Amino acid sequence: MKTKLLFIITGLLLLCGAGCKKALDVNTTSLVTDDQMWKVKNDARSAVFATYGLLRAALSNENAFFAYGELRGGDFKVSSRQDISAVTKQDLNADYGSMAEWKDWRRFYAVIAQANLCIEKLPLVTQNDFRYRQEDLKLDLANVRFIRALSYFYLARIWGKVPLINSAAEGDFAEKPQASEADVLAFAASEATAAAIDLPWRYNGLWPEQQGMYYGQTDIQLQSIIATKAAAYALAAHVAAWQGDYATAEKNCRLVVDNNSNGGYNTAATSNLTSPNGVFSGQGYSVIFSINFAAKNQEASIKGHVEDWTLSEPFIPKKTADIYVPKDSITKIFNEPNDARFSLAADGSTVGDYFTNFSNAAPMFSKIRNLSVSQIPVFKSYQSAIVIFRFEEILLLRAEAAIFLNFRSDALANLNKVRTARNLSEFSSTDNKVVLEAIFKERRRELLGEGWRWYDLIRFKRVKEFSKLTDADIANGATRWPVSKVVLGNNSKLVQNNFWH
Amino acid sequence: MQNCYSLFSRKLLAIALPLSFLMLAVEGFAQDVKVAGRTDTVGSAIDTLAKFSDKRKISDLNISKAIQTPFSNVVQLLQGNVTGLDYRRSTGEPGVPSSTLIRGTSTWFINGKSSYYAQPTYVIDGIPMIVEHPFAFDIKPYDYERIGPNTDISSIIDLNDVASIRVLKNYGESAKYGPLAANGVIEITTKRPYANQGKVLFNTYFGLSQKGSASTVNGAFENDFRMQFYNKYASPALKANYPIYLSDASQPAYFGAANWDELYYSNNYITGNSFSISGGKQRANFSFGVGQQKEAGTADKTGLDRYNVFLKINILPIKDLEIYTNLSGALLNRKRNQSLLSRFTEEEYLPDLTTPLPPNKDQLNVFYGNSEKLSDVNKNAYLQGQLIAKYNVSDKIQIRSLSAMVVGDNTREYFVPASINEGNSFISYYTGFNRRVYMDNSISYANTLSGAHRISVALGQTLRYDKYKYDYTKAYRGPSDFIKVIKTNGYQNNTFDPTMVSTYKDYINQNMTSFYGSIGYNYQEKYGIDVMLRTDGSSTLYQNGTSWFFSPSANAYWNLTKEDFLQSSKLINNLKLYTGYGRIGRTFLDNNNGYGPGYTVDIGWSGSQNIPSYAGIPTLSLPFSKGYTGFGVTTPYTEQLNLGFELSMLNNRINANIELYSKADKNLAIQIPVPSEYGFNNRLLNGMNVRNQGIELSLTALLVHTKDFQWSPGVTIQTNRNKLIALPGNATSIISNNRKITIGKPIDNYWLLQNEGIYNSDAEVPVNPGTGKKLSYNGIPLTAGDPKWKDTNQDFVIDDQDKILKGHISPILSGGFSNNFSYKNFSLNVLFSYALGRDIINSEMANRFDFANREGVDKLSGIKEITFWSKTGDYTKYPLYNPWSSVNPYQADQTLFLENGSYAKLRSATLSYDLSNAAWFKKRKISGIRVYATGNNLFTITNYSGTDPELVNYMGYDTGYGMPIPRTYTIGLNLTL
Repeated sequence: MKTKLLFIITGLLLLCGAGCKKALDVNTTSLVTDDQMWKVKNDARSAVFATYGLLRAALSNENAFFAYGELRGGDFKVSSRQDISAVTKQDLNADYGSMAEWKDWRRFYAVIAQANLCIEKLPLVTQNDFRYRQEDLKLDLANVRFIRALSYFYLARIWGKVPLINSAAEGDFAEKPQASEADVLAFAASEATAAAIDLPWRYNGLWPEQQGMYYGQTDIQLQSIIATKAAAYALAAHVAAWQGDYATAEKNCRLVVDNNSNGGYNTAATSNLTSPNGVFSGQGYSVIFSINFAAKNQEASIKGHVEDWTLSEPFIPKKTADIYVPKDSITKIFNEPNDARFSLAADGSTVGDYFTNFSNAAPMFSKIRNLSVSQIPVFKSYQSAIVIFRFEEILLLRAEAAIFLNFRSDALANLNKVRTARNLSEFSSTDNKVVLEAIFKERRRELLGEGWRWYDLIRFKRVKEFSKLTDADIANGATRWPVSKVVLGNNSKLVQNNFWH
Repeated sequence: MQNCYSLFSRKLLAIALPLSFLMLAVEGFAQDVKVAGRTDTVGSAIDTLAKFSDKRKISDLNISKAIQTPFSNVVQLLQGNVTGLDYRRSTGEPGVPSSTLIRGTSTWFINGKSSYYAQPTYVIDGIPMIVEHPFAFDIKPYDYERIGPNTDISSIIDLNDVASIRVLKNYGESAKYGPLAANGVIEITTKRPYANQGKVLFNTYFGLSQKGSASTVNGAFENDFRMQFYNKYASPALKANYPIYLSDASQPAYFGAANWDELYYSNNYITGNSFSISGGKQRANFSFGVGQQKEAGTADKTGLDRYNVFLKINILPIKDLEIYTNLSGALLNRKRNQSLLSRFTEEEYLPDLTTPLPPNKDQLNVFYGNSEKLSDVNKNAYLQGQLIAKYNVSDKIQIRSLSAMVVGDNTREYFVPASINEGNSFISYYTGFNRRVYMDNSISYANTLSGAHRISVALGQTLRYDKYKYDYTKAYRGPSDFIKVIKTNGYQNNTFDPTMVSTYKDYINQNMTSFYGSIGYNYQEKYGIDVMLRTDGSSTLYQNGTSWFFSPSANAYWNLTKEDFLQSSKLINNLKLYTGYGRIGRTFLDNNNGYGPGYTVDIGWSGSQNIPSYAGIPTLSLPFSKGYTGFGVTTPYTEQLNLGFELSMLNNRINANIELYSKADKNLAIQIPVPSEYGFNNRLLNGMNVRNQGIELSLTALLVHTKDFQWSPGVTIQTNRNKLIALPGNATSIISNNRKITIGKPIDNYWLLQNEGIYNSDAEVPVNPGTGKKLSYNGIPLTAGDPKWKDTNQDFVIDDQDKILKGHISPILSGGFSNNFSYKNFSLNVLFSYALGRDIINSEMANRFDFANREGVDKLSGIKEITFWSKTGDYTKYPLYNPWSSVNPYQADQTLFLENGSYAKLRSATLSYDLSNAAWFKKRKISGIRVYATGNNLFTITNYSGTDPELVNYMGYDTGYGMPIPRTYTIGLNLTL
């Protein structure tokens, strides 16, 4: 009886005591909560580089960068993929999964949301961690503002009218209407110029905007990968050119070109342009700003690179590439002799690495071929960077701006800098229109496959010549992209582009 | 973060309570006390109800008949026998996880993770089984299969050791399991040891899985098929791009004999053996058993081997104390299918798909020869140990303590040799570990007042600690096909390049504490009512502490047979009316919902979602692609009301059971679209309500009952109507992954464009009189060769607004039809199961006709399995659209591919002969011996044009990836000594 009693009491005690609340206090392993974030300097680093990472995702998702910048321009023909073919035919309402992704701007807005978040929350880190000084905060804010400005620039060029969102959402998902393209561009321009003030030319610790080491990374490690003064000026120049304000464009280009020794920029040799370790590795003296996918950091990928569409045998085990530049287009584009990028000799042999297997029905576009592993057997993982701004392109933009401002000699000088680097003869003319045409042609050659062609066609007002769109179509908004139906469905205040309705 | 106090109390509870029992036990042995009978007389309120439910045939299963059918999965056994189940399987391959929905579902099936939220809990001897957690889907871009062995855990159950299987559908019965019971409970009770008897049970069977017939085709067939389109619609440019493998009719690989089925399909042997022995005296008895089962699929050398062992010991050390321990283990070894889709989604790498596997056996041998070096080992180990102690403090009070630990260890070792993988080998290694510690203690009191009123009261608490973890490593480009080990420490002697190796690990801990109390009352077993109140605290919603949820449930019954007016009735032997109500909370499967907005690694893009860093620097961002979760997420819950009656008439020759239920799932959390301009796709909000209502009827009748011959047919019918009642916020419908749910409609509808034929010429396309523009598809004008789709809203644009909700994945009416005949010692049991009113989208045929968008593309849609070279379906049903048209004429989501998937199947037919009465066996004290022959899945009656109407994936598509369910023929022996 005694043991029975003892035992009952034990049981009852345990019954009550066992349900301890502490057992239910289990932390999540896959989420950093808001109260644990923004405490140390590394939190700032994680957030700022996440903004870069999201920009990379937005531009490489389904080869978006290439799709927006190159496909509609008509230089590339499609051999098998129906969805890519639809884009080249301006058939943007076609029903394909990848088409829906290209029309969806959510990923760009994710970059902007993360940037807005950084702008709002980074000051908290200065309060919580003494190692994160005001100078560090300034530099990080400049980086983030540059990325945000770049994202808005893409949104404006691709879709035109997009909502302008400048502050972190904090869980309030209010529907915002679209702002006009002009407003968006104005914002991008002001942000780019503001960012330029606080960005250094290089991250070698020798510039007042950046002292010491930036998050422990050396100048070589960060070269061309993150925002610099030149990148911000380049962006400001392009926004201005798109707006038609060639004076500002010329000024910003001049700041980059004339100060090229500060950033260490110069034109790249042609062999460097087409080499796997050259310009399109993303880091180099001719690259002002690029998006990085280095295999050594395990950031190389199978999807999201232009090689996925353009390469075939002998570089990868694929019979025909998805897209290619047809033979007659090649000869029309590269019609000048001795072009180191590509030229056809009199005896039919080819010079230059832009194209391989020219004799095939579909010559391969081999300008960009940066595989993660160079040994055989071939592994289809690519580490080619997305080059956003490079020196030659800024030279050509400066020439273009100069010609619009009637500085013909300036224009010719800059045009010829690129031409001579590519083994072409110097160009000269007294007719501004002829010079502009030469610049236009040179851009097509130099920047083939780099995501510039469609924007160039719009800026030079030559869309009609190179696509099936008419003046009426263009006036109605055909040069922009339609908004995806998912995005339209999520925000009732959005209005579809007139032409694509 | 558990402080000393809780650790102390946990350990104390785990050790002290049973230890105190054991102390008493030792004391008892020393005293050599006379032991009273089994201590089941003082039952708790829950047990009373359990006893009552035992008589309800709607939920129980006759095990002795069931073990004569060689199913490896418990639910396959229940199909057609038990009402309330909707079993969805996508393939006949053994061991592949399937989906069981009990009384409809409130889960919207839109991705591979969805089915994990809808499964019932399997409870073995009071311990809930621990199953795989879907968090492993987070690291893979494709949700086709979960990483790891992905074997159906419920296959570990050895049916030979099972005494009864009950499906607990009413919350009044299953409330004791708390939130685990929200989707229903399949309660399995294994056999207790026999005392004073010494029994040996031996069951064995041997059989054959018969391969079906495959009508194979070669390139000539595909050529003829495609030429129809090329001749009608193709431009010269397209004709120039004709697939190379189909253009040369002289090469034997594609135009030779299509005899690949000789390598792919085969007949296979299946076996099952189980042996158990039990014995002992009243005071201490045991049972021990081993079992083995080999199930084989008929395609691609698939199979599942299972090995079981168990040891149970029951001791009554002193009067009034009973201790029961059960240790059981199972090992599953699965041979998986080696489909290309499975391989490429695991590798996350697509080789060149322009040249598919050839249909000719000789060419294939080259490929399969190299496949010998492929290794795919899938093992699951499952161990369960429990200790139950019951002590009768007095003849009215009983204390019960249950402690258990369940451990699952799952591994997959996968190696693809370079010779079949375009020169790059691939290796992945997965090891997963699931562990559950479960403790339940209760004290109950029962008393009968004045001989008529019986009162029972119980109080108890439960603790549950779950841990899920996995480690997953994958690597590309090994040095040779013979080195299958990943070694990358530093940069010397590595077997793999470190940049080619990725390692992932994750773990989740989920704990739950519950307190419950119940009161029961019955009057002379005529009227009775049971009420249980419980509160459960779960660690998954951690917001300023835990999230406790209060669950009441109640049961009442009225036994009319005990009433005066029915006491003497000759016609009605048994008539009981019962009703019940219950409210059960649903715990979230992941741990991220209780913290408000947070930061995570989410900078990937499609095809590369796991890249966590930029320029080598790690990143943290808002979870843009996963969805926004704010503060204030609350517990979803389900309420169910059921009403039923049980009727036996004419000397128990007719037994009927009808049950009506209405289940409302409320406050479910679902991802709601938000404006994309904030970077998010969706946000998680509570507020979705789904209602399921239905009727279940089961009827058996002993129609013929003579001395030698008996015939008793039976039928079960169940219906389920599902309706979406509410959505969070002001939403009236949500669209996700090409499916739409709308308030007022079921959640398992398809969302389809309506086909009305084909436009044979441009002139046939209607023109909008207002604008002069032709009818367009999302802005693309329709032309000759495009489908005629119905413009439901008459706006001259075919788009999402013209899609209608039609068809059901779940059947409207389903059940089984059984016939049991017995003549002297022979018995024949035949079971049909049927499902009516369900629809299937034949996406296999849609994909064949959509060859233009799939031929050689660098996506999953470009994969052609070896089964591509077979003729399935009915090619004449579909018009010849222009496959190159940008309107995507052969998209799967249109009524053209919607077919009625109703079917009736002969699931099993068993002929058995009972030899126990033969003198020869009686002399040798063999108490039971039966031989039997069974055929399974013998034939199917259906109008569906595809291979098998039962094999659809979780979204209702028949993708053609389901291996056929084989016909099996077995002969077996059940022996009891």
